[in-house]
Amino acid sequence: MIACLPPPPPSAYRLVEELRDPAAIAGVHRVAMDELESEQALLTKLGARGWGRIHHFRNHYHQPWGERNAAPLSPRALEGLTRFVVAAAFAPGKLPSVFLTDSGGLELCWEDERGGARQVEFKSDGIDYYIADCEEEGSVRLDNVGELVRKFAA
Amino acid sequence: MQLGPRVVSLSTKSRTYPGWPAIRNEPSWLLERVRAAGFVRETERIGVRYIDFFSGDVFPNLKIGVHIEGAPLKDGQIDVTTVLRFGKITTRLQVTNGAIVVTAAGPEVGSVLDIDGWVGPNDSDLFGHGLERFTELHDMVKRLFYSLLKPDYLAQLNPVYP
Repeated sequence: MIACLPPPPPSAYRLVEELRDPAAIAGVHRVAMDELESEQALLTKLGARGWGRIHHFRNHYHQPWGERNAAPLSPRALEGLTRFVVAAAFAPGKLPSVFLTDSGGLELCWEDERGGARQVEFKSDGIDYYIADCEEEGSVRLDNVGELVRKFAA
Repeated sequence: MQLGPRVVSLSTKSRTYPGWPAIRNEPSWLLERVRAAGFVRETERIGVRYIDFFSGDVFPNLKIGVHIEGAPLKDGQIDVTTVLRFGKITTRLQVTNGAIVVTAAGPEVGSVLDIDGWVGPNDSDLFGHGLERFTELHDMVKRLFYSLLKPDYLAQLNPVYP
């Protein structure tokens, strides 16, 4: 008698391979003509994985996505995140994680030197932030990235 | 008018550019219809692009070029691409002396000076100040174009300033 075990149940969530492995986007990427500075900052400060995720989001999420028809990536949110990353400093060894939200925004999560959580969501119409250390949350306008950077540096 | 994924553009036919005063109001017509269609959620960029063809090699007549040990590189195909920023406006400048334009009179070899100017997502409220942006972009591209030509060459083109 040959007994076959039932196949394992599918995971509730599946990590898309292109997001797991930077090698999935391996190859020579020619940087868009005006984006060298920002690409360098994204790569240096978010690491290969963070840079790869943004690369994936900006190239493959222009249409509604997922089972709930989540909104496509907001160009304003992407520009806001890019400006923030260019200007911000992150604690050594604390690479931020990047997520695409259902509303088409981008969320950046990381820890400060003491391990306190920090979170910023870039949306098409503004930026929301949260600093766990001082239990502070608030919003700033997209053109006020400088103020946000100063707040996180304080 | 050209319509594609994430882009709507209005362009003139080759060699029939009527001048800015004749077309500055055309975007107004287009914007009204795009707004009425209701499919634009957010603007990624607003841009103005001019592609000018010149007979022959234009590099000797430009203030930019490629040099080797201080001497201009001549007698070969040269392509130059760079980005220049002017405040919120970004321009991509492309020059090549290896272009072929095909007209009713037949193909002609020459050079192309291509200036693409744009503002990014956070400066692109298409239905809010889109028309003002078009004018700003046109003025910037025009200033850059004239600043690139050597004065004696510019004089040969007999420009007419409105």
